[in-house]
Amino acid sequence: MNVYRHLRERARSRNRAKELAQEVFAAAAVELPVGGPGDPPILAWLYAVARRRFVETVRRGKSGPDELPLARGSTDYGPFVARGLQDALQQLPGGQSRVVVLKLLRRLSFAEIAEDIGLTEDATKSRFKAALEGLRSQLAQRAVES
Amino acid sequence: MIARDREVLDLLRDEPELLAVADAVVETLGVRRGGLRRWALILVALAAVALLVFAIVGPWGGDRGLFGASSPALVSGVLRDADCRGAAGSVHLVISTQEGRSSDVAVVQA
Repeated sequence: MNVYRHLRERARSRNRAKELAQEVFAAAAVELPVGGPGDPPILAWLYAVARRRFVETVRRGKSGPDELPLARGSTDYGPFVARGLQDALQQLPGGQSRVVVLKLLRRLSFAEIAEDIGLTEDATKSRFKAALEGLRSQLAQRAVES
Repeated sequence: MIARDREVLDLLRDEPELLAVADAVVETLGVRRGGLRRWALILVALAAVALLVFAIVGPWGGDRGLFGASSPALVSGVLRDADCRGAAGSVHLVISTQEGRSSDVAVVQA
């Protein structure tokens, strides 16, 4: 009985996650800026690829099995974006880059990260957002300088 | 894909640009989990084949294998049937006989 409950709960939460992902990606795909002639090329490319990936995710979710898409080891963004992001990550203050690494690359929860770095969960989320804003600024700045 | 992280989706649902940056970080700098899993499966499969071969041609019954079959032929059959597609590498089997002689049995090249 416990096993049944456990499986059912997992299935329900997976569905909720799928719905949330579709909702967020559909909105993001619409709201992402379209690259114009004056935009930094790396960000314009990043947004263009992200928009396509989000649309694909929503399409797959509607027609595919009851599963979120697996990490594909995608090379969609290419070495151009990868190099830019790596450099930008190194330019971030230590505390911010650590939160990004722990959240996005090590896939810890915000609660686990908060415990690790000695902040509250809300402060950790704020730091994470600040780090992503920092990455975006770095990418824009790099494009202006190059 | 950032889709699996509900916390990030919740946090960035109104920040499409930051969500795009987060997705790019995961995809370009993240560990290829699928790739790792695939390699782990290949390694486990190769280890299983090696164990099976050892069990068949091991020093259990003179010049005949554990199951009483002619060892090299059986080994070749097992290796031929083993699904090693996709593995980047090779399996080189060296069988030692009870008399202390060694002989190469087969090489499986992916």
